Amino acid sequence: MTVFSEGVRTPGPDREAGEQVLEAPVPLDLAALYAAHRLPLARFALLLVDDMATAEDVVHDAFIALQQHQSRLRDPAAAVGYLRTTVVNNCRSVLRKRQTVRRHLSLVRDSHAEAADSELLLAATQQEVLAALRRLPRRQQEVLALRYWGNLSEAEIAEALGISRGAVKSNASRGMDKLEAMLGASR
Amino acid sequence: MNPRTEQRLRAAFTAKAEQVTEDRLLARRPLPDEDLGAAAVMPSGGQDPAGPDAAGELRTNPAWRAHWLAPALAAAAVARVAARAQCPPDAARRQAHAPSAGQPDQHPGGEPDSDV
Repeated sequence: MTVFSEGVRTPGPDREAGEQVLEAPVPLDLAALYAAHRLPLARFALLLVDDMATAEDVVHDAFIALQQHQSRLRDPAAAVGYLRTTVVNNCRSVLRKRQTVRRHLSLVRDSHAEAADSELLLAATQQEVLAALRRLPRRQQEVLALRYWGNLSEAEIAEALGISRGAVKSNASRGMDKLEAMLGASR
Repeated sequence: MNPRTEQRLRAAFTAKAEQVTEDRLLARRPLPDEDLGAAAVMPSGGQDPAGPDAAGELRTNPAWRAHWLAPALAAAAVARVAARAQCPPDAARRQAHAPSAGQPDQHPGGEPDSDV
């Protein structure tokens, strides 16, 4: 089962597989995309940015970007991939800004103190896993979230993160090895 | 790879992700009525969404939100850029539209993300 459903596509003219698209871009059904993908994208964003308000903002910004750039999208079916990639990129921007703020203002977990509260609702074992996950490099966290929560294929992860399939494999493998080591050591 | 670690990771991701629900998203930020003002001046024009049930629709109808809220947020984003850069809205709109395909913000030095 994939968490990120590709099921909602904008109706367009029937085409043979591989047929070259020369006509004007088909308008996207943004409302259908929004209804189908806002929640899974917000959940995915939460795994990366760790607070719900930011996750929601990140997803809204992705829909705004899609709306603004939809004329450049040749294939409506690519919209979900575009949204996913935009969410990843927006999350990276958020995390980078947080890092800068912490570095320069010495604020520790200020704006997302909510994350600590929300984790209290999780079981101890789940808290332990998520804490270990956060100690991994960001790229490895992204790959693991897309693979083990999003259930995406290597090719889809590669597309979402703008990296090669080999890099997806190596990041997943290294991430899991480190996670196992950390979780094993904490027992 | 240890299947038990995979299983634990999936369970932790699921538990965390399921903290986000439609109800919590709608409940956490009820939209103030003034947001409808932004929707009414959305850049793409269109119908006037104002009406007695408009605020309720924005809060409860995802399709309606997609239709009206996204342009409203786009207008708000342009206003934010204009305020930050202290430049006219037209120039701000160009800036707001500038990052194509959702590219992440660049460091001042333009360095890509590091894995470390």
